[in-house]
Amino acid sequence: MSMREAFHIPEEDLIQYVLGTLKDTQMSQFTAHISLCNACRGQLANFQVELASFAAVQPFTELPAGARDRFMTRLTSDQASETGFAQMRDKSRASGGLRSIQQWVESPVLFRIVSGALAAALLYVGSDDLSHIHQLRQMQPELARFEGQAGELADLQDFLRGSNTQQVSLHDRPEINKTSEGHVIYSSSSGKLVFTASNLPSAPLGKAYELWILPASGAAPVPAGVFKPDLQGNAAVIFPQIPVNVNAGAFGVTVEDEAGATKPTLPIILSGQ
Amino acid sequence: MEDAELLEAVARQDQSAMAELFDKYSRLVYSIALRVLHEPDLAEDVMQEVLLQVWRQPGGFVSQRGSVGAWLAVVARNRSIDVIRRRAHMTPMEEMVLPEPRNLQRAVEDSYLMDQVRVAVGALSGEQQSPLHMAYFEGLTHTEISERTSTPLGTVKTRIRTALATVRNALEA
Repeated sequence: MSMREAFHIPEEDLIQYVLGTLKDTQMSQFTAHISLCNACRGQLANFQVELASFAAVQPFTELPAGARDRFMTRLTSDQASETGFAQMRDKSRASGGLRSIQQWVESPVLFRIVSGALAAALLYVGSDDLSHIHQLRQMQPELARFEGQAGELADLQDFLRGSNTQQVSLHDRPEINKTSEGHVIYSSSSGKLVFTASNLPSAPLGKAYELWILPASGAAPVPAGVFKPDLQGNAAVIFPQIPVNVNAGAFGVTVEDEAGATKPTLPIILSGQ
Repeated sequence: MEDAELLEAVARQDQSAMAELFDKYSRLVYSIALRVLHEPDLAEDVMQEVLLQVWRQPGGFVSQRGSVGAWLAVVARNRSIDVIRRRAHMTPMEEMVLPEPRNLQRAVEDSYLMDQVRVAVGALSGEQQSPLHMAYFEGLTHTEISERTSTPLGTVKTRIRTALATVRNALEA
């Protein structure tokens, strides 16, 4: 039995998860686990429907007079501008994400939930952006590799908790794609790197994406992993084989042959420093 | 029109489809909001925002998240709780992509099933229903319910689980 399968969230906690009444730290922990655990996701789905059904059988109240007209008037005049909800959500994500994930990284649960370690990486770099739930699933092959390798897991845990890492967001150039993005956590002293990306278009046939470290010294770019996005455009590179003590001035992603390249081919799809 | 067709039409900014969606779900959304907020004006504001969210971001709901009704119920309840707690919060549940649990996702739209659930829930005593009601409509944690009702925490958890099991049994009957 894998470690992932050995732990499931208790029913009462899943119920509170659906109700949103858990503490932020627990929400983050459970989100990470649920994203990777089909059994808990199934239970969660049941509770969601049961709670909605419970709500739906309470006596209905008729709408106030004119409510439909008011709604349709607002619908007609509605602009594509940001909604109050969107603003609330953005504000919430911006302010709460890093804090809650930091708390999670400090939690002892990290030692027990292998999946959590990888989830922490994504949630941390994604500033609690829940779209990264999809990325978590994309990382499952990497997770499987780590499950049997406690030493590497400990390394990953230390790495994510380390204070001497660079964290860089990579953004696309406007003419290529508005929404593709990547995030890097990198430590030159240990030569360790975690990279996640989202909204990448599929690589051309026979091609793949390649991540590069562009040394601050101006030396030749260092290849840091070849990857292909999944159907949702998400991808991850975890602890690629790279030399230590390469001080990064920037990071870039290019399209290369599937086998990888020794030097990058323009154009640079994503870049950040 | 089925919900999937409605949502497709809404995505094309078809106002008549949005009106149909409103007619189908506004009472559910409003009733939940009112039950949480106890103020008709606030409840209507929440109802408008929840449904406008579908209009503005029709991609925000995907079929894998379950039924439209169940999802709107979750969002309506959470938005209302947000209001009373003066918080700006998007819960993970709203973006969670979940598996379809044994055809239960359509339950909220199935009047026969809802009648069964209504009877089953109605058969629960007030004491059995109360903790779930407080958790769902007041956003209280299990611990807060325990303190407010002077009931042992274990009893609160058991009553909530039992109430949900009652709903589940009615849905599966």
